[in-house]
Amino acid sequence: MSDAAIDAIGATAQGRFGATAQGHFGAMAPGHYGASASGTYGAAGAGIVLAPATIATAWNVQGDPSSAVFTDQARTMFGAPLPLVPNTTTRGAASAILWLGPRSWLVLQELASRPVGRADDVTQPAEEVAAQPSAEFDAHRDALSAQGGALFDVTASRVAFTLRGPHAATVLAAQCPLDFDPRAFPPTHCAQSLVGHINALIFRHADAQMFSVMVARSMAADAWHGLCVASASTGYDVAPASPLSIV
Amino acid sequence: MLLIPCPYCGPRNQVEFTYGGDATVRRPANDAPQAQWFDYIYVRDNPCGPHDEWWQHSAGCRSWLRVRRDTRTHDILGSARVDDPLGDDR
Amino acid sequence: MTQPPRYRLAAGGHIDRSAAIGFTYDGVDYKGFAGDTLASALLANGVHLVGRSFKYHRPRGIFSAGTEEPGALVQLARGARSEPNVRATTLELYDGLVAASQNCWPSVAFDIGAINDLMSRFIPAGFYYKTFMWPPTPRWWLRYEKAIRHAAGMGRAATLADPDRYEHRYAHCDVLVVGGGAAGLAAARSAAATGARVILCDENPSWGGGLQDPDAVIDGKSVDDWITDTTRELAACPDVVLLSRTTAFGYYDGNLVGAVERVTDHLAKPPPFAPRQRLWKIRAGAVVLATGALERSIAYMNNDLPGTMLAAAAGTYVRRYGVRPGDRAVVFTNHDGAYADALALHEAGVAIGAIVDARPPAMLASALPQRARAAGLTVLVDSVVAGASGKHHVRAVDVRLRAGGATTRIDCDLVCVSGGWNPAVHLFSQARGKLRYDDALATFVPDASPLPIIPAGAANGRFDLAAALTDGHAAGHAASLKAGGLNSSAIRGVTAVDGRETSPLNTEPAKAGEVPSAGAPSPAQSLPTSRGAPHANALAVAALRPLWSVAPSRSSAKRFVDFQNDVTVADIALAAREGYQAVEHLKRYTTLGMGTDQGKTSNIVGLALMAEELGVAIPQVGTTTFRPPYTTVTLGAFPGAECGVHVEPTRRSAMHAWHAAHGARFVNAGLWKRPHSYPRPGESEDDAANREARNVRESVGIVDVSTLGKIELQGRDVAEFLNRLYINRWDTLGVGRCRYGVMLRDDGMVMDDGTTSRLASTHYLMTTTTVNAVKVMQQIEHLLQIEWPELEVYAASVTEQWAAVALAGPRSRDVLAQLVDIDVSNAAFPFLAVAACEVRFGDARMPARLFRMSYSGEMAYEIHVSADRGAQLWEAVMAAGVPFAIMPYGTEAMSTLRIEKGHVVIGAEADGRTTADDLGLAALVNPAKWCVGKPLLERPALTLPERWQLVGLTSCDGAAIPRGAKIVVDPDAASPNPVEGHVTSWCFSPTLGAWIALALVARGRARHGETLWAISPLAGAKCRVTVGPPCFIDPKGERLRV
Repeated sequence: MSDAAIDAIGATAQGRFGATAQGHFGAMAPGHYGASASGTYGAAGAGIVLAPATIATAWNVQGDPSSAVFTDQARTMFGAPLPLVPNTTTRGAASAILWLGPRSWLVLQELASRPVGRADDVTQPAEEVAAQPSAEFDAHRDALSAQGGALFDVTASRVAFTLRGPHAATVLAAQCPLDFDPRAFPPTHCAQSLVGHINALIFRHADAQMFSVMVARSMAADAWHGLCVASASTGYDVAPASPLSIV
Repeated sequence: MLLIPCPYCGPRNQVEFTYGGDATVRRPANDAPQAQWFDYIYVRDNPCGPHDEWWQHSAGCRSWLRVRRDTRTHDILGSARVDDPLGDDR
Repeated sequence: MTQPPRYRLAAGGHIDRSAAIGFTYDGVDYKGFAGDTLASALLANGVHLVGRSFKYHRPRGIFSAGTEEPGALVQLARGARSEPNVRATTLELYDGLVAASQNCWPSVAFDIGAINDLMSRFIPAGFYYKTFMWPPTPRWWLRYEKAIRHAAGMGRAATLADPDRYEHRYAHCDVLVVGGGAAGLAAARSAAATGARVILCDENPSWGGGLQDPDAVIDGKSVDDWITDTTRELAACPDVVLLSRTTAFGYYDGNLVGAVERVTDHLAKPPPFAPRQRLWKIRAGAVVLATGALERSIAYMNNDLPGTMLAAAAGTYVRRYGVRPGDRAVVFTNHDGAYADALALHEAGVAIGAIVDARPPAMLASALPQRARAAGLTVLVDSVVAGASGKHHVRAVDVRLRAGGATTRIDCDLVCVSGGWNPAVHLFSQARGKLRYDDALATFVPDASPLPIIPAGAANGRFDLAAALTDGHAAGHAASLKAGGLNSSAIRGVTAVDGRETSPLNTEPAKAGEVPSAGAPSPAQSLPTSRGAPHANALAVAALRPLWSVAPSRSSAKRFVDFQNDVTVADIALAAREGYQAVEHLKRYTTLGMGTDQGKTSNIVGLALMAEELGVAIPQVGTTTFRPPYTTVTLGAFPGAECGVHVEPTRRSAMHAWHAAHGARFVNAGLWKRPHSYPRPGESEDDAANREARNVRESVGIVDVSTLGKIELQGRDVAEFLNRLYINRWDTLGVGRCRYGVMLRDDGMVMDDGTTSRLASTHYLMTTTTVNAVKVMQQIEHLLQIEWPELEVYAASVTEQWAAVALAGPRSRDVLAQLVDIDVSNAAFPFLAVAACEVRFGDARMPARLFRMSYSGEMAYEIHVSADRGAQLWEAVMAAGVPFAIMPYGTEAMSTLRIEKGHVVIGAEADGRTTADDLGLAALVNPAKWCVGKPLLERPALTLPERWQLVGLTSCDGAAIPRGAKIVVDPDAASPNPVEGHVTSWCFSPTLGAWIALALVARGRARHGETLWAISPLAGAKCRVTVGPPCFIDPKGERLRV
């Protein structure tokens, strides 16, 4: 695909997406994940809504699932049991736990108070982010450590995007080898795979037409652009950022 | 493109995996004599037929796995967790 | 133009006569209709001559009606979308299409290259190999090749950038059905009825494949109605995907089928944003191959003249496109099937000169020949076409008895030839399927495959309609059952969205008449039945008598086997005589089957002729290996979206925008973009790097080190683990301290280096080099999961979690003191100290990790903050550094600083062949403990005094040390000049005002003070250098500790 073709994908009626000489890839604010302003792009009849989603806190729990003291500690701490079935999730009151590996989980907490990106321009950073509750984190880590486990703060490691709409699974299937049939990948399940060449953690929401895709921060701009390219033939809307919710 | 059954995640595309070498050789004890380490590092078979290999589900659950692959046909014959040997039914 | 073209029938066919389409061929404007191919539209206009053959430049016409076309290859002129070698027989007509003949000059009718035909006795098979072997230097071959390529020519590729976008699509199904003809539709229907997920693909724009018999009745319906109803039923199933214009071109490991869907190729104006083509990677539980069959020719004299056509192709042009391919036809065959085509031509008003049938009268008792005779057609039994005549078109054929004798001339402008049918076994064979020679069909048919791949219908040698339908139906069922073991295991027994337990593949095979339980609209499950007249089958090859060639009346006449590559019967005989008898040798020697058509109509004829030459049975000759792709695939489809900026992922640090906004030139480090330097207006990159490096030595600089690999380790046994992983000792490292470490590979060579910090008693942070971050993490996981599961150590990559800057220079503490909330005096925070702190900048408060470590050799710190605060941290440091003339520096200045300091880089000094001792790091190897790589470290060869050891070099005369230089004693010594070592890193040192380098030199440590030469014979450069220790600056490390 030529650069001109890449540009064309974002070149919309409004001409806002990809208006710069470098095309919209060059115009992206690096370090942030957003492509550009909210709007409608690609072919007519937007089949998908793409949006950045902000992660409040993300902690990687590791430990031996056969150790009751460890799993009990984790359940007490996060308000939900660690999911032991591969690629499943559990939910607590304000948190969700995703299975990452036989001894590894991702705890996502939803802090309603955490500010999100500017609604008028998803490329802009969160206006001001509260300091990490590091004392709370350290206490959790020490408590898990005492039970033979471990806790790593990976809040900033990943950036999340949501894809919603009848073509969401199709757009992912352009780049991801997973089987997105709801019988193979049911709602509220998660899976790790590749989106293009980029490692991704994918969560299918209870709304089976909605996915959250989490990728490494340094590759987020690249991944976002790849999703935009893959969405061009169905057409897509870019919505403002909102807090990531694992429901 | 191979389809490799991850014992945790189910059948997954080869692109999610990283090859990790021969799983039939046993790493010597740390204090084993140099000659034994030499054999381990340099003396490898090139078998024709079913062969056990290490693969890591690197873009998935990051588990290292034993995968039995037929070197003649490229067929994947089975896989197992690290602590779960693949049986000797070859 | 109100009159339809002369050869267009007034009615019939699947074209839309209300939608006229204008197109241009060889500069002439023509009209066609929607539904036409370029070939059918040209034939409707009476155009047969469309190209010249590859080698002899003989005039060639339209030979087939599909992908097997060997001759009608045209140049599609479409600006940047221009494409050579497009098959006119599959090119769907669109308004404004412009195409031209290729492989001819100055025109298709008068082609200078045709001289090759007259010279043909000088250019037999293998002539390249025989003629162009002298003089035996590659240079001469390159000259020949240029001339040969020009003479041969296969059209011209577009020279402009491809304007199109190509998509990929991963798809998963239980049953993939390749081919949407009678068997394929039946298979898809029966598979779907079991509840299986089905994908049905066909290369044609419409469904039905070769199923076009106007007299056949299926399930009480006409063929057209049955096709329409069946595809409609299938389309209504939620678990069925129908892909037309989609060619399954290759079978790959793990039941993966590659297919390419032509999304916009047939459209005059592609809609915006649509990809041109979509490459499907279909992972199927089982595959039904209903790929049909390909008709083959018979080799007689001048059997390549335009106006010669496969019999079924002629039938297809009549039935599907409403085109008469000629005025007067001769049909030449050896089986019943071609009679149906003869009758179709007859009914379309084409005069039938004769049906020339090679079989004896006793074999002509069946219904089709009877019907032809009843229709008044002349049938010549026991007869063959000995040759055709005409210049640019067939004018007549000479017919004689098969046994020989005098010939009779029959005038005609169309020869329809059929020597039988070959199942399209390409995908089956790619899937390691074994073939079996079927004597009755005189062709290879599928025998057995070890994989879940089931041939059906004509692809399985079932040429009869009823048999094809039954076969397809059974194959669909069988495939659904086979699929259970593979791909779909993941979806069995999983609770569906609505809470119902769905286990589609555990369902018993549906019984006839049952309504599927799934509730969704599903196709009826009854076995399709055929009540067509038994004669009414286009593919009937009943009572075939094999006939591969007809002996020529004169020896110089050409009888073509492979039309595209101009392989004749004589060429095959020559190959046999010269010993190229093995089938793979035959192919390469004669180029049989090596054209873009891959010998679809010719291979079996060639094999049979070789068998005749050798006097053996055809199965003994065997077949060549079938390889993907089945038909040509546009290169752009393979990378799909993974091109341009997406060839590989790009990684950017949290500070990337600042770097870009401040004039950074970027350099690739693995997938990362790192600032190389920050040139000011009018400044070169080298000058900028020197300025940046000098500023670090004199004041303070800041560099983005976010890209370094970072791995956190937690657990009771981390110290023990580090002891095993690194050459040095870790159980002695106190909390709040860090240490430099070196890791070895199992073979003892240096693998990676970095610092590891003890953040808390059981909590460590390891850093790795940027490039090795992934490899080190995999090594750690390998060791923990496989070798030492007893260790309680947990590892997580936190490279992405932390943005990191290094602050270096004598004023670095002054800058830092304004930023952090802890005491950073030398006493409170000495060299190699580590602490958690908070960075304060304006109102912002950033939790941070502070490290006192140095790569530059100056007093230096690293500050890590959460990556989403990286840009803010950078701004904070830059602001705090203003009074101290802080400057950002890039990787080039960083490299200069570390070369001055003699620090090694993995990949440069440690190149996979160097030991810790070679690098002067032997003192780090703790003798009291084991570590990875240590057992082999004491091998004799790794401890020899002659080993290349790390040294520093200084240019003696102020000259630049050449790039990639070798170290020699005497630069003018005769070749081979003994090499004493090589330069690993070099730079101009702004601090020393001299060119310096790090190098690996034999006995290097014992040669300090010697003068040697750094030479680059490639660049013609040499430089006298003095050997010294690798560390040029502050060898005692006093600056680090102040």
